[in-house]
Amino acid sequence: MKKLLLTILVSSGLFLNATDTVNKDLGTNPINQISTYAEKADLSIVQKDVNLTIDLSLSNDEKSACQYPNDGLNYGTDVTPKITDPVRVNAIVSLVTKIIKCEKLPYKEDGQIFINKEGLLPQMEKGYYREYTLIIPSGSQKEFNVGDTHFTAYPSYSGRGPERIVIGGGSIIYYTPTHYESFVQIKLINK
Amino acid sequence: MITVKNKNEFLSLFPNYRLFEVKDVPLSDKRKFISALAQVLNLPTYVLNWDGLIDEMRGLYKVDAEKIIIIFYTDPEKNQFLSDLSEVVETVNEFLKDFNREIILAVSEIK
Repeated sequence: MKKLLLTILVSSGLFLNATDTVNKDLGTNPINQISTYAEKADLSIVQKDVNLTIDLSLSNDEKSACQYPNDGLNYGTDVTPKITDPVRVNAIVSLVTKIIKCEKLPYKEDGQIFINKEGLLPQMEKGYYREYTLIIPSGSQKEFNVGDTHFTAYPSYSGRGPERIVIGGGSIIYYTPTHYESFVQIKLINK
Repeated sequence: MITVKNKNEFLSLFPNYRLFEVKDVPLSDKRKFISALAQVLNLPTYVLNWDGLIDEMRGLYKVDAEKIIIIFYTDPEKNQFLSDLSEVVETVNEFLKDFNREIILAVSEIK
């Protein structure tokens, strides 16, 4: 269940009187409390400033229910090492942001275990790595660099295309523009 | 990996299957071996390594049959990639079971 934190600051004593009534009659449902408070209070006689803060962060139960390990990921607006194609940067930032938020991704293959059979990434226990489809929108560059490494984009024959993100331990991000032929470790940063 | 002596008899064991047959199987070039399988399964041509094969074979959940049978016509004693492929399929099947799908690998020396 979402944690709902409501902070109501009212500049008159009317708030305290109304709150007393609300707590006695309506239990803990904050939406009911606000609605009833508004009905019972005579707001026409006093000028009031209301500051409403709603915290929709995930509870511990919801975090554990997320199918994408993401505990060590950080939000960002850019990628390092530098990627010269801004379309790819935006695609990576968008995908990682969705994983952090635990938004449902479009493909059933997303979030599946990457077993690292070719051994190109450090050997870890099974389940450490998860793979995600990186959809590259139209307008992307055919030739681009990730740091000092030059890539030529693979042709896309299917809906999912050839590019992937692999995340290790819910924190370390690897980008493979070459359908698992090579990887570059990347990080999200703020510009 | 099942060894098939009589294909029709073998297939009669499965009431609901889709058959893929890989002929002229490369024996010693891994990329060519994977590419040959990818072509038969109608996977993208950029599938050239085991990890890519696992990723794309998971898409076989869309196949309209409970059993996905892949028969390789090769000499199992000489082909060094069949054991790797068995591990790949085992991983893919862990995903496919949620869709009531299963890949069955078989090998036949009869062309």
